[in-house]
Amino acid sequence: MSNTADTQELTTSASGLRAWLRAEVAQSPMQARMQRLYFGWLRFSENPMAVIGLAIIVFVCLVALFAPIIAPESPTHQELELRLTAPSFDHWFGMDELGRDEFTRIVHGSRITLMIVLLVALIAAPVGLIVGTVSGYFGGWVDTILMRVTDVFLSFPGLVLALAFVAALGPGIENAIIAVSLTAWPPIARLARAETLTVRNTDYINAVRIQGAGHWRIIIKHIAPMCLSSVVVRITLNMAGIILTAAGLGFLGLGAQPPSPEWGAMLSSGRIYMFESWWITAFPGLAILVVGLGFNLFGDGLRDVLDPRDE
Amino acid sequence: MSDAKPDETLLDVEDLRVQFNTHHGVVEAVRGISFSVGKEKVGIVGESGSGKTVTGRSILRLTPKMASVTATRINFAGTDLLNATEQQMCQVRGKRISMIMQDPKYSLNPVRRVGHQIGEAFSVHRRVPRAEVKERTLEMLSAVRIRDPRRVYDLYPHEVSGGMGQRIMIAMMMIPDPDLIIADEPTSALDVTVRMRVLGILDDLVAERGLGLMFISHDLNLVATFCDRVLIMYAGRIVESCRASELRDAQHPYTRGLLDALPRINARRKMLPILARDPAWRDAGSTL
Amino acid sequence: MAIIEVADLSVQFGDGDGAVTAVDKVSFAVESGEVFGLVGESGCGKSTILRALCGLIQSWSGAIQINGAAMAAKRDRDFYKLVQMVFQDPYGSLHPRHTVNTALLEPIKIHHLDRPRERISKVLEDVGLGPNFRFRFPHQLSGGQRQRVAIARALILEPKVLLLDEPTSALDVSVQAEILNLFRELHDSLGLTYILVSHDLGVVAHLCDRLAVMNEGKILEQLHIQDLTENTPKHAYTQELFNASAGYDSRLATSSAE
Repeated sequence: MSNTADTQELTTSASGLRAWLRAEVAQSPMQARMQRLYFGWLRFSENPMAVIGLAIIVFVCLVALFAPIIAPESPTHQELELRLTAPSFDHWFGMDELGRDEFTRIVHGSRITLMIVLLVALIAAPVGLIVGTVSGYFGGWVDTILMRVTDVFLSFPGLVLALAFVAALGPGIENAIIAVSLTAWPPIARLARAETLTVRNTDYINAVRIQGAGHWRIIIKHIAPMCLSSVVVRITLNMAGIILTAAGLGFLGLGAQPPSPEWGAMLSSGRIYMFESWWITAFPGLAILVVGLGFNLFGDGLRDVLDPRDE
Repeated sequence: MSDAKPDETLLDVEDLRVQFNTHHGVVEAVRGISFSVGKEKVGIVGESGSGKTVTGRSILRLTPKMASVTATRINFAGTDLLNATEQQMCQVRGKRISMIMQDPKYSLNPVRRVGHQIGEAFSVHRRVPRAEVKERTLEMLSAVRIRDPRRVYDLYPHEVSGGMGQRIMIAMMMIPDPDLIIADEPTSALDVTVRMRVLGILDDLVAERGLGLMFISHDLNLVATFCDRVLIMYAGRIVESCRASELRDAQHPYTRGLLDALPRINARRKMLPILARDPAWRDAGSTL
Repeated sequence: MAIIEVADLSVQFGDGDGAVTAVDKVSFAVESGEVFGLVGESGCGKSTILRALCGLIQSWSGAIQINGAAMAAKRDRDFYKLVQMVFQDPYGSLHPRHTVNTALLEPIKIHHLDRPRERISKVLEDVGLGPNFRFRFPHQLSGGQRQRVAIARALILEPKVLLLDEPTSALDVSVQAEILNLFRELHDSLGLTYILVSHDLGVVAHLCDRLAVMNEGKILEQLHIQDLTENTPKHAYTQELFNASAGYDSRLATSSAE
């Protein structure tokens, strides 16, 4: 065991951190929250599949973050004389039909995929949460109206609805994101409403009512936090579907426009070459599969940890 | 309260230890207890965390996966329960040892009719034609003093009251003719007047059939008046064991403390004496 | 002067054929500083009365007067500074995601009170919890500690009346004794008025001066505590409750069929 001052300091500060996290009595709200996260992480890490899912997500995020360093060439740079070259040492994933390096395009395409997924989640989750909690809390005609609106959105298959919106708004990545968000919020609303109905009549909500809290305070500060776990789990599990819907739009030419290296669009443009040059479609397809799988595994593990029934 | 002598020992437990492996470390729920139950009513009393429920469940091996159960001996009328295989345990559960749980809302299957559930408890251990199963079920429903067995047979659990649900639970647990009943807080979820009636049924059935009863409860007063013998558990050990009639003269300070902490209608005091826990109690002797 | 006066209070749930009368024309009065008990088994309506009194239930009929003022279905904010409630299940009455500090800060923020930290420290001290408990989550507290936090939360608005809904039913015997003592101390030192609801005659007899026995939505009789213990004739149901609270008696366990 090395005895340099550095490692000693590192180990003492590491054990200091551990002690802080495992302390019986939290001295501040921050410590209390960190402790909860720590124990949540311990439970999460017991599930190997969930950790694999998290690893995949982290990996993809890192690839997206360091894309210019990993694949320094531009994804639209063409070397026409090398078009349709098979994977080789110089071009790991081969070249596509327009002489662009597949590997570079996949790596840069990860940014687009992650951006779509993040923005959709950031739009759909809060919208669904608000609609669901308001609907469940107030009941009556508010509930009826909001839920019937939700039903209308739910009754369309996701891709069809997204297509309809993009057809109205015009093709392009921004409109694709809006379209996919519009299909992603209804299940969240349903879920939030169900949680709200359970939570609404608990004694801790009654207690804050008889303190004189107004409706919005109760919804935002007391009910929404209880719905948050399920919503986070649900949206994570829905990520795979979101990715596929976005890829579907891309495949149909309604998402990111060429020459953008969006994975779905790459699948589409490569499909006529599928039998002779398998690499043009195989790698984008694999990428979509891996990212979707990662989110699924992560979401499963998250659900096991966050299930409020266990608390 | 019967004066039956426990002529033969049905259940013999020696040095039972149960521990749970959790994230926060190892939790020792039961720390070496020994006791026996004959054809009598033995009450196990303790507060939450005393290990009484875990004791009941570990005898039938109904503890969660993270629990490890060890003992010198868990013997039931000649059968070694400690080292039995899962298949052997299935032969014991229900057929020879039955367990009545606290709340029929949670222990009865909500989507099956009550009569079918009782019948299943019977037919799972015996190959018997369906007509006979139904007959035995109706007999059992009358034995627990349900006035209209045929009507109740077809009801779902949510359609019966708490007291009736518990009678149904008793019927279900008694129909396979076990020798020992483990009752885990069987009347805690019931109203006080209903409780007395259900206990009356349990009392009569146990006496009639010559069964042993292990009555687990937090209610010291109830156990003292219902059972023949009482075991008091604290922090995973048995700190006191005596005949129910002698409980008022109990020796151990924890027992005395519990008795004193009960509010008494007939002897009103302004402040109730607080039970001061002595750490030495954790190392109390644990054998009978 | 009666601080609480209830006249012909009725509460119905549902309507039409499926309507259930939870409380049926109940009348009683509670003097200032008194400890008044409502005893009965489940479904007798005692908890419903408490909820109507504190405004959680708004569809009731009859008359409720608190501190001389007639109550309407909805209560204004100042009412909650007068009347507070402690709930039965300590595991269900604290928000699982809020620390003790957050829970105690809520009423302070809602009513824009000053000196929040002082108030929180004082109230924690009053209920016997030290400053160590401020940043704990409910799942890190024992049943008795949670109930103390619930009591602290009720006291932080400095009410005059506390409605206690089976406050010790979910607690161990030794913890129950501590909490009952705490209620007695708070009553004496803060001059509070209590309405205590319980199915446990022993608990009610311990803390209360007067009590009402309820069954199926009606008050069967009201008596002083001394009447319970002395041999004054009581309603048959009261006698049944009284006998049952003494423990099991095989002679009395009437083998009535159900």
